[in-house]
Amino acid sequence: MSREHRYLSFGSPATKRFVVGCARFAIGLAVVLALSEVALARYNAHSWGYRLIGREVFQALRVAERVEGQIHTLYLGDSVARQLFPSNYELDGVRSLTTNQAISVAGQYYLLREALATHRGVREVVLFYQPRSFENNLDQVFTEDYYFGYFHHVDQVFDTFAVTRSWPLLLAHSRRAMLPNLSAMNSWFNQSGSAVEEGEDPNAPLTGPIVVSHVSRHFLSLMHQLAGRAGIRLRVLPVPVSDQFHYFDTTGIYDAPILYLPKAMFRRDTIHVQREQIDTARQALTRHLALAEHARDDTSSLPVN
Amino acid sequence: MLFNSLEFALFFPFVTLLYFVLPHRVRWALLLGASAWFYMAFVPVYILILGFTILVDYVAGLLIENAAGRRRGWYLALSVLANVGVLAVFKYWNFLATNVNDVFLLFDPQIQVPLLALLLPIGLSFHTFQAMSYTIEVYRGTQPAERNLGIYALYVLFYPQLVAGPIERPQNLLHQFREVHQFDADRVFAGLSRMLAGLFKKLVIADRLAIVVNGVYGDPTAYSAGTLLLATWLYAVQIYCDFSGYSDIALGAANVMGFTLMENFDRPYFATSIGDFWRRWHISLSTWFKDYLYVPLGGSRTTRWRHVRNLLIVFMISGLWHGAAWTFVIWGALHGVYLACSVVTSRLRQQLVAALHLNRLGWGLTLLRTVVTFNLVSFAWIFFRARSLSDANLIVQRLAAGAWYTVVHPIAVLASIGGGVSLLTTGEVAWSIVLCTLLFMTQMVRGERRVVPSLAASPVWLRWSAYYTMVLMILLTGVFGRQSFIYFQF
Repeated sequence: MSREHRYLSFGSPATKRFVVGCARFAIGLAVVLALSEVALARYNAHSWGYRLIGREVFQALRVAERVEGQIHTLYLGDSVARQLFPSNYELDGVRSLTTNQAISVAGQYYLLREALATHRGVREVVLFYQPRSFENNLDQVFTEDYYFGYFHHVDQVFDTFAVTRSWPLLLAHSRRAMLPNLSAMNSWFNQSGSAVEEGEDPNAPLTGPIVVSHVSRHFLSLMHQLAGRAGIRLRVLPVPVSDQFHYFDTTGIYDAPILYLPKAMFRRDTIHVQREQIDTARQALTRHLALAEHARDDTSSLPVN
Repeated sequence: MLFNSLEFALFFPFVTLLYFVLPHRVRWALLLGASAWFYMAFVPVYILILGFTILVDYVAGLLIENAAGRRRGWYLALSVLANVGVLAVFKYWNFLATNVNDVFLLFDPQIQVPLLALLLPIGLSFHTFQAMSYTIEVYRGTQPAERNLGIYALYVLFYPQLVAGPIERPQNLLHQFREVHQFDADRVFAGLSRMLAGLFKKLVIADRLAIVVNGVYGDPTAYSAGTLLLATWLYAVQIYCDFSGYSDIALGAANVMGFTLMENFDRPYFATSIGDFWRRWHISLSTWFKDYLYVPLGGSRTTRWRHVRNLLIVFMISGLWHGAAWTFVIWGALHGVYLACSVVTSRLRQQLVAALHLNRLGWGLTLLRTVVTFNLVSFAWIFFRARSLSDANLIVQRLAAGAWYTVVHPIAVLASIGGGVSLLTTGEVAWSIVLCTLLFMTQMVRGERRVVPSLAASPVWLRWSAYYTMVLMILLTGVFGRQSFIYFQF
């Protein structure tokens, strides 16, 4: 048997044909994928993210890019915050970019960064967060769709990896960075039909300290630095919590005490406010925060020993 | 390592490139090492079980070849006993013990056969049967014993077909490890396109249908007869796409390296009888049972009642081969009964067709037979898929009640399908039905084995458009949950 029959020769016509064929196919595939990406991106923009999982993040990012009027305060927050201060919440000079805790504090940081690049006149940023939302360490079921689905610029991919040091997350994140719209549509196909049963989390402790994940700590610190550099006041405030729970803010993460409201005002998941109680909860929170602010101003004027 | 995983996407091109770069004399060693690595990606320690059976069968093969007279039979029996013994311990012990304990409970609750806390080695039934076919063929004198332990080990471990077949015969596979496979661009493209078709079947069709099927079979009490029937039909398509998708990837991967494995499917749901179905479904297993069990028992060349007995024995064992549970035994027995009935009633059916002039129907009769066969097969799948015998009974009872109700209130039944489906979301069900229709239409236009070759022979623009469409559909609608293949559990 001749020697050339035993080895793969990289100069042989068969190998050349294979390599050329693969290259042509790959180029064609790249063109097809690029065209699909562009088409799907247009569709998503046109439909205001209708067929996207976590479309509120898509919408918040679009709103953050838009320059309209004089905005001096930005609201960020989780889904409870979104109930109380939805994107169409109208208050002079306030823009609400509340989304979902599934984007984690990392997502809130990047959302803030996008918003501050457009809204130059902002003087105050408020992050409304449920105590349990700080637990998100980018390891939740919806992480891929809510966080990786929308925050996939190269720096975000690498920054996230630097914090999580998770290779599976990096791979998932990189995939979403390369084909964000195709991946998003795949998610929609696979998850749109899966009805998530709303129920109480049996593992939720009734009382205990607020657990702040590594990711939350890291990106909250970045939020403070970002705000500090721009001379903006950043406040982290709690949304109302069912009175069946009691959390201890041992790390002083909040700038105001937690407001506990009767359990009956909340939905079965014990986290979200019932639709008909939203206005009441918002008013209660506003009063509570105003009182807390007043008390803080009073105590801040006391002489320090 | 799953075929539908990132690990395999890295493993396969790396091993294939090395295979063609290395000299022929060491290629078997590369494939052996790669196959061991592939298998150990599941549960590493179970390679020892494979090692044991490989060693036993290798030695048995040599002993059988060198022995004479009754000794050959003894060596074969020892080899078969060792293989069946491994199956008995790892796959059937707990099933037998549970049933024996249930019987003991009637007499003395103190007596209990202990259960073993063992995890079933992946694909155990496949490689055990492949190993047994080697010693049987050596015994029959149709295959010389393999002298090279490494090559024999590769015959059992060859990674494309290690965990879910096709169950190869030594005459077809062993000699291929000694042949020089040159790099052939056309063959590589053909293999890759077959792998793509397999991935499409698995990720786009099977795993999509699984969402609906798992929802219904996970809680059959919540669904109406119409929905249960729909889920059962969808399961028939799911298991076909899951298993034949695996086989396509296996055959494609082997073909890329120059190996030809036996075909495992031939449009099974176009079968016009149960016998025809078994000539088209999991061909490597049905021919295994035919050659090594059915024919030695006497096959069909015996009295009618012995023929019936042989069919029942073979199919009940086939059921047990699939899984250690009564649901699988009943699934196998049902197919045995179907075939037994066809044997017993063959003359009567011929007379009926002649008397009613059904032959005049032409393709209509073929369609009728195909529909009846599909529904008989689907009915048996209920037992295969159900989580327990009680679940299967419940589904059958609901379907039976639903069948009667359909006669009386057909409109209400149609509405009930809609009601049940709304629990699953209509989008999923509609998309599942579109996929099934697409699959059957493709197979109707082109036979199962001709789809990929016809594509390869078509103009570049058409071929590449088909490939790009498949890739796009995988990316857009594929289910990337790393779902295992159904037949891995066997």
